[in-house]
Amino acid sequence: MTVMTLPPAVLADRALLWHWLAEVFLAAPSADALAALRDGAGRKWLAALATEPAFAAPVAEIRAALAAPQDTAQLQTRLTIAFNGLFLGLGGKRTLAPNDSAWSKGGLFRAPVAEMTALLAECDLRLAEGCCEAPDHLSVELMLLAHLETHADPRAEPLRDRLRLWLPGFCAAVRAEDRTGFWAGAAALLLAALDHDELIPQPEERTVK
Amino acid sequence: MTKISGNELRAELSRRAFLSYSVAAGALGMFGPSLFAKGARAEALANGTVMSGSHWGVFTATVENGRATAFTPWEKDPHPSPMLEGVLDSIYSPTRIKYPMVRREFLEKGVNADRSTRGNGDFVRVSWDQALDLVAAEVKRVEETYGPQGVFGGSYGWKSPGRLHNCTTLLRRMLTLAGGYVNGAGDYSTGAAQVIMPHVVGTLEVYEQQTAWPVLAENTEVMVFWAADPIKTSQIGWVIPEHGAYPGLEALKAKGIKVIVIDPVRTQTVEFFGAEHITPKPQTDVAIMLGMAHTLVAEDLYDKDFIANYTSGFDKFLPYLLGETDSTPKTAEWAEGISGVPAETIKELARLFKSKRTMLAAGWSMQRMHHGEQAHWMLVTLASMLGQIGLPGGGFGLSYHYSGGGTPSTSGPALSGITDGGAATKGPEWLAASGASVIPVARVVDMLENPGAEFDFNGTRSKFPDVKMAYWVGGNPFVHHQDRNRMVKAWEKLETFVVHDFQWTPTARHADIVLPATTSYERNDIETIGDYSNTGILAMKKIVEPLYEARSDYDIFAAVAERLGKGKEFTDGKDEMGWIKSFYDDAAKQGKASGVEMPAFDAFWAEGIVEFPVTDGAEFVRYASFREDPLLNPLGTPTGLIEIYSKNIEKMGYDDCPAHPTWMEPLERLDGPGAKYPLHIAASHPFNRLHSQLNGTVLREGYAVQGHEPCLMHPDDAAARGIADGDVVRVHNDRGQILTGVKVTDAVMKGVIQIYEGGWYDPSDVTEPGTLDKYGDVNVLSADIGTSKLAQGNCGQTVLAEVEKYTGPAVTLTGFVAPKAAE
Repeated sequence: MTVMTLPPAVLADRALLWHWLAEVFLAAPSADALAALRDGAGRKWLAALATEPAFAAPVAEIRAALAAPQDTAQLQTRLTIAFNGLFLGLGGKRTLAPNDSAWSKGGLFRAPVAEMTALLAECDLRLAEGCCEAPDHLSVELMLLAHLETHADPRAEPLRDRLRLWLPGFCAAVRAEDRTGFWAGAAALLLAALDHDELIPQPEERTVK
Repeated sequence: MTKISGNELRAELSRRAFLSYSVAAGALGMFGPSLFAKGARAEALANGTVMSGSHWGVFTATVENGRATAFTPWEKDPHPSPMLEGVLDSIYSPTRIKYPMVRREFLEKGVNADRSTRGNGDFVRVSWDQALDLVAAEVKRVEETYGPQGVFGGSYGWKSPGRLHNCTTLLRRMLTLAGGYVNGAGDYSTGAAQVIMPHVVGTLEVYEQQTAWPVLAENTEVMVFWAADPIKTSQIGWVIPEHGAYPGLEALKAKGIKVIVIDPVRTQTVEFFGAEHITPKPQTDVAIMLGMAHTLVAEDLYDKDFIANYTSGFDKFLPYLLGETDSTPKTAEWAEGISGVPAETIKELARLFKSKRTMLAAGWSMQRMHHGEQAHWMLVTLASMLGQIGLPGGGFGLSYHYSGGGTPSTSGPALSGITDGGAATKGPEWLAASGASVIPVARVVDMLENPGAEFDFNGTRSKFPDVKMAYWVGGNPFVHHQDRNRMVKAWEKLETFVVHDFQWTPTARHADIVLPATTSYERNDIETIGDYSNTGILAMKKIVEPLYEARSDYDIFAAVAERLGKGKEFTDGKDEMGWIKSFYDDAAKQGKASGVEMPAFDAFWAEGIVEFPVTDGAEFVRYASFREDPLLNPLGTPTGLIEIYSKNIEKMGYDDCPAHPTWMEPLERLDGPGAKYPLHIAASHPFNRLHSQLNGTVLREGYAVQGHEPCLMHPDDAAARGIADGDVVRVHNDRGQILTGVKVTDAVMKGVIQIYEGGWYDPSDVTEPGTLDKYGDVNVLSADIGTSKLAQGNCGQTVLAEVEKYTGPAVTLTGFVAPKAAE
């Protein structure tokens, strides 16, 4: 695999963070993703993130969850079981749907689906052929946020407000249910990043490690 | 520290502008592809109303922005089920299966996978092509390696209605084309009755039209609901229920007809009628009936003419009744000792039944227990002694609580449906015995544990096949089968377990390959309204587009068949609407021949429903023609009469099913000989579910106790154990342990607790033998034995246990809770 040398700025890049969090709540981590997070570029990236004081504790929780078991295959199984139980329905009554509608409207496929569909259309985007998730899935909202912030699109702010409305409840439930710490940490990181304006690209200078 | 300017950052981000951004990010090895494509989607989201139907009735769905937002009952439904709310919720359940998934172990190691970890949730997503290739390859491998004896296609369950997307039939259609399969005979509802009744009255009886409700309202003086709770169970239907039982029940109430309910629980039916309530110890119905029969003989009340002219073998039964063959006269006092019902009550009931036009309407729980064959046989014997069979409003009925039995039948034509490709058989389609070989459906675990072992079944002796693969659709055996821990272990014998479902049921969680099926509301179909009444035909129209990657069972099996080189044979060249039209056109042709005109298919589909007229159905009296002339209209028994003694059963020589109705001690019963546990569990059908269907919906919030399945317990039993209302308790016996939430109530008799069947199995640790079920699946505790060698039915009501306040680690479920903002 070709490893890109990215400038340090990228390691703390907010859009990258949104994409990573989108992946975290979309599917259980792949073996490659786990390898990267433990030993590859992802490890450095997590270290960079941890230097932001607001991110330190959530990242520590994520890294702790990645530390054991040592065997990557065992870790992947552990995290897959947890993800499927938390978010994919295998947890039955304990399933936490990572969807806006479920937390802002009390059930899946409600108004936020149409609202997000409309927002995507406004942005001349649609869900890709291989994406079967509803448009109000957390990962869709985060990836769209990354897109809007990257382009300094003013629609980013109302989308952040949308996320701020439902994420506290969702993230609290994730913390209550997640036994691995991986998603509890990711949820905390998500909330922290959402209100961490320093990483929103602005014309003025900013400093990163 | 590195300082970069905002402009530099913006430039960097801009270089990795959106659509190429993920490619750059992907190089970190942490990311998948973007979820987006360029270009807005053109189509508008659907809005409007759509008429359709379900096991809970006909309804009109309101669709807003492509989402079903309300199910409004059909205006002609006399008693809409409140469960429709759950039906709607099921579509949008957070436990929907989104895409094909395969157990990681199985995906990596195939038949060499560790099977003890099934159910641990380690599934990985695969594409539809991968999944279908894998399923087809497994079917082919097993068929070629082991032959049709290697595949169990006896997939049993309540699935969903619809004549095309009949998933169990579609499965068998595919497996027939693949080379054959092992089928399951019978069902879990009436396993014992449906085998014994043909010996006794020549028909299945349990799935037959009953004397019509208007006839009962006109003629019946005493209505007895024996282990039947029609107010509860009439909410559902095998096809689309018309809910005709409710006006029938209301007519009885309005007329002031005396109603007696015999049940350990004060049921909804007791409450509805303000009925006289008799509370026997569970599993003692046969003893009570014998006590009544003895009273009729002792007091010379029984109808000797009816016995002489319409029955066979009473002379061989009578010595047993009187105790001449076993030194135990089956007196009311003897029955009191077993059942707890006072002898005088038993005698009074016998006298009352004889003196009044009495309908004995029995439920099925009395036969879903050890020696369950005896219950309905003895009931028919008792009814014969009362001599009212075939009279308006008298006799017995075994289906007044089910699917609208007794609702007047129309003269409409029958609706056909897709077939499994096997030989046509009479009776309900799920009882068809096609397949390379057949086992009694509830003996599936025996089969897995004992390949090659001989088993008896209704006069036959066969060997259990050596099954290597099971394929389950539209069913939930990890809830409906008995003795869960034994079952989980036995399931390890299977090399491959494939499941289609729309939700992550306990069964889906224990599969190797899971394929996401659509709900009924995401596909088109056609179905009859009214199991017995045949009120009409309903266009079961698609309400919303399939969610996630779900596909219809028809499409899935067609794709598997295609991979097996049998695609054309499977589809017969028809698509969904082509099949639906063919079923309708067949019915219209029949209708025309019998004088019932039906609109052309397009007009029907546009209207959504066609209703048929009731001609003489409201006057129907079951067994009237037999009573009128038993020689001209004989029953389908060897003698043409009601067989109180069966020579056929005598020839079988079974030690657990004598040739006449007999009281036989079950494996265990409340206060019975050697009873190890002090409480009987009434594992009744639930009020807010259809067996296990809808347990994964919002309805659960209305009945769960601290997130657990409720356990009704008598105040005295609760006090004796220091248990208070709302406590979480551990219910346990030698077979397993479950958590439930207690409701203290005198609605259950002392010594009995009620835990509805159908709670989703939720093991604490699938790899730990005897693990604690956290939710409350009562079949963790029930016994997995055959009713007898005759019927080999299940014994879901044979279960004793003990209860204690739960003091273990917290497992209280947080559930799927919306934030306050949504309230």
